[in-house]
Amino acid sequence: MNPYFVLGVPRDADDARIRRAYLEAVKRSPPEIQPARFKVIAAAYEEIKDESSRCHHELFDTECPGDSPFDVVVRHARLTVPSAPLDFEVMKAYLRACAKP
Amino acid sequence: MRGLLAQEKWREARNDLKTLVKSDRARFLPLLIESNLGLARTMLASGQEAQARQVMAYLATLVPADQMPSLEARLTMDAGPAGPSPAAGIAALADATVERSEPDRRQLADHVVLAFEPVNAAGPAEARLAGEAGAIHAALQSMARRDWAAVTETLAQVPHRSPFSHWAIFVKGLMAFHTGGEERAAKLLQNLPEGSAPAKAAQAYLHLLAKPPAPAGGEPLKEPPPEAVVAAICRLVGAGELARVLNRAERQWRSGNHVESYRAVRDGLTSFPSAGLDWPGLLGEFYFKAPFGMPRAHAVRFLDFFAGLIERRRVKNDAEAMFAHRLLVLMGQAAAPPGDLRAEWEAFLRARRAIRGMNPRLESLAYGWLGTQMAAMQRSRGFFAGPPVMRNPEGAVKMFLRSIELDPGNLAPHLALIEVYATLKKRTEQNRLLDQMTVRFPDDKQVLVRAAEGCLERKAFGKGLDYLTRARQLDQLDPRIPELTVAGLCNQARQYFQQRRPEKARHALAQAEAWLTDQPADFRRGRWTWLARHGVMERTWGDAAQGKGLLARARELAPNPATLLLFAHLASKECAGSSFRGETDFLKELKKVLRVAPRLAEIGLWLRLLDQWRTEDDEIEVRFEEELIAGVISLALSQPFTRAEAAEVMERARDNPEFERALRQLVKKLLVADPRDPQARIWQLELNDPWVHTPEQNRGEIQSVIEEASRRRDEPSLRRAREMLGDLDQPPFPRNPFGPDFAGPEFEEDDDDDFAPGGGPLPPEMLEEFGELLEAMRVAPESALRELRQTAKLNGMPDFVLDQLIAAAKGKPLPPNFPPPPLPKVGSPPSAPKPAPAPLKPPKFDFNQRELF
Repeated sequence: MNPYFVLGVPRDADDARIRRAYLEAVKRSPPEIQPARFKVIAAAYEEIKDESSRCHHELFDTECPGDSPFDVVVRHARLTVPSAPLDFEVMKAYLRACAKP
Repeated sequence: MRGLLAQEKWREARNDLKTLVKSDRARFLPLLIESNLGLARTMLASGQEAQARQVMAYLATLVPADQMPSLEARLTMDAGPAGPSPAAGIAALADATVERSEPDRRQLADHVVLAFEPVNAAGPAEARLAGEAGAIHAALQSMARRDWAAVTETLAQVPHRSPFSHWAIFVKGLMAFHTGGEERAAKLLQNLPEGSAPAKAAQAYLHLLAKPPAPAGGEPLKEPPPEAVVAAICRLVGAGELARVLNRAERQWRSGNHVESYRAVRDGLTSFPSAGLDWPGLLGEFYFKAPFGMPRAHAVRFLDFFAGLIERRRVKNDAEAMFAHRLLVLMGQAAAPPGDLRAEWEAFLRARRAIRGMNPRLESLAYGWLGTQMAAMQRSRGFFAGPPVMRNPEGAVKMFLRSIELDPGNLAPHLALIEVYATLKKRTEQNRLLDQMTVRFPDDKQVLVRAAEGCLERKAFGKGLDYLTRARQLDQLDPRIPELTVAGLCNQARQYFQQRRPEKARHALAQAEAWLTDQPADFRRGRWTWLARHGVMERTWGDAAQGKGLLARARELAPNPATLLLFAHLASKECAGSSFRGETDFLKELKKVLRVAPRLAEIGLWLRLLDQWRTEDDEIEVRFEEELIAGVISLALSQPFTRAEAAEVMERARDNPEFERALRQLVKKLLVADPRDPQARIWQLELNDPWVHTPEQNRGEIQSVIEEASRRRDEPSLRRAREMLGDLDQPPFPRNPFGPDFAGPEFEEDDDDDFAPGGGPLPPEMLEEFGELLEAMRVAPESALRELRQTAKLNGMPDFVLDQLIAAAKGKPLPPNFPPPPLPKVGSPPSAPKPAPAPLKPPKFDFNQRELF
């Protein structure tokens, strides 16, 4: 998965911001409760924790974020949705849209 | 009639149906209800609420009273929150006089919940139901705030028999989902009543809980997900507009039509591909990284598509240009000519700069990588296949210098450039750069060690030893530092002896003593090696008696007398200088010792010693010693030996033609003992003459070796055999990674980088050289041809090939399929008149002066 997506930081984030985002993500998904998600978060942090790693990732990373376009979306949703319930208004819209025939 | 309904022409359909109902009520009443519902829905959508209520009032005259709440609920769900009040739904649910089925009750409950409005209750039953619906809303709100305790508390107000109980289960399922209780979430969400609104909403969550589709290694996946699930997940992640495009792209991808899948997204999403952190960015990342894991044929087709876009200048935006150039470079790095590689990589950097601005550190890394590609060693092809050569040394130097210029703090290109200079034997540039590096990176151990090596090579021992002292302060555990220290001190001592300063020499050797080990097989720091060196130096320049004593002590500690004699002989040669060609006393003694058959283990040890000596001092010539050792291998084979001992000899001597005959005997012996031994069979394959056996002929044997190695669980042999098979299976890839043509002005610079010794047709220079060679052969005296034969043999060319060339030069025809003759030159028109060859031209070069191969 794209490490910037995983940690929820912009591409121009500096080391301190990335570290902060990493710690927040770990707080949301502690290793003892969500070990799989924690592993993804830790790997993402390793990939972009300093400028050298970020440059290397941008130039040479070849790890595909999924097996198919839909799988990419699902993997991304698996990563982001469980940690954050939908906002109430978004949930309302979602439920109504799903109920439509 | 149904046509009018299908076209949503509600009013016309209703007017016609009013008449038809009179003739056949049972048949046409449902259609009349549909047309009225459709009309009301259309009115609501356009804000005509009052008119919609009139239509519903008319509908109430047509259907039984108990069916109206269901119809109103349908209208609400279809029309959204703008529909009629959910109070009717609550009233219908509370009406105990009407018997309702469970699905009807659930539908009414769904209508009430989805309205998300407070209900004014008319009686206690309505108030209870309204309270339960409100509890569902409150629980959803608490969940959004992650107030899990409040969610649990609120849901307690919804009893098990409530018509809203399936909503309570849904909310509990979501709570489990968001708090990591995946199994509980799956259990709750799977048990929702089919067809209900929560069950439909749960589909996306259930998909997220399921295991991902099994990766099929790039093979087309089966069974695309239902469109409803795709749509639900897209809605869940807030990208509802993505669903249609994603469904189409997914179907194409799973059918193996990767390019069409990319096109579906490219045409369907305006901002795709994007370099941003959004959905187009994520999908773009997928498409531009997927080829790295695809089967070759699929990847080639995908790359061809992007190469075509670039060639026709049809890229959609800067992001597409950036990703496409990057993909083409990283996928084609091994096969692309260095000039194309550079042009493509710089195009990537230009596109990147346009999107994200200049980043010197990133560009320094990028040019460093390009330098590494150009500095890669590869086997040369063509007539004169010899040892591996650097792909493009001049290009590598340029790229590393550019990388350093962009970021002088980037150590990697410095280190890589040092290695390139060392390979090119550009000592001055190498030493200058090492001096710069010690200033730029004063506390980097790697730099200090490399600088020390450079100093020791150019005999600046004091400076080199000083660097080693600094390096040791940074890392006391690196074994390379004491090894270099001992070597530096011994060489310094030799220099002092040569300068007739024996006391200083002995002092230097005494300093080295602190770093010695008692390992007999350690040729760098072993005590006996130090004693032997010291002894040889004393014997040569100092106190001969002391030297004899030191050698006697060395003999006691050495692994065996022959090894000591070989070591002392090499040390003596070193003292005598690189011009020495005679036999030392130690060598004479060694020859006597070798009359008794040595063990193969000893031969492995000697080969290691020669390897090490060659590495440390590239001026010293050890070919004579290699011949000597090669000559005694056959004797050693009469002694018992282990497979590991044979492996050491094989690995150290396999690339040396001097040993070919002896190694064939060794492999034969191994195969006699065990005819199916996979390792020995691999060696046999590797010893096959590449000019006689085609790799294809070996395919069957390799496959048989793989089976045997798998059976014996011989992992190293299995790995090597698979590599060999892979070499046979992999044609140069991609055939033309950058598309057919790069005629733009930006690709025309640096023509000097374009020579690619690793592939493609032979360049004109090589053909011209071949022509000159043939011409020289034609007129060369027999003595020169004899020398040429020896040189060719040393470079691995069989006699019969050279014989054919000489025959061709002297006027005999070449056999079919032989390398083409040099004329006409590439680029000249085929019909151009060829000048008649001069009858007896003098040779253009002297075979004794020019190295041919």
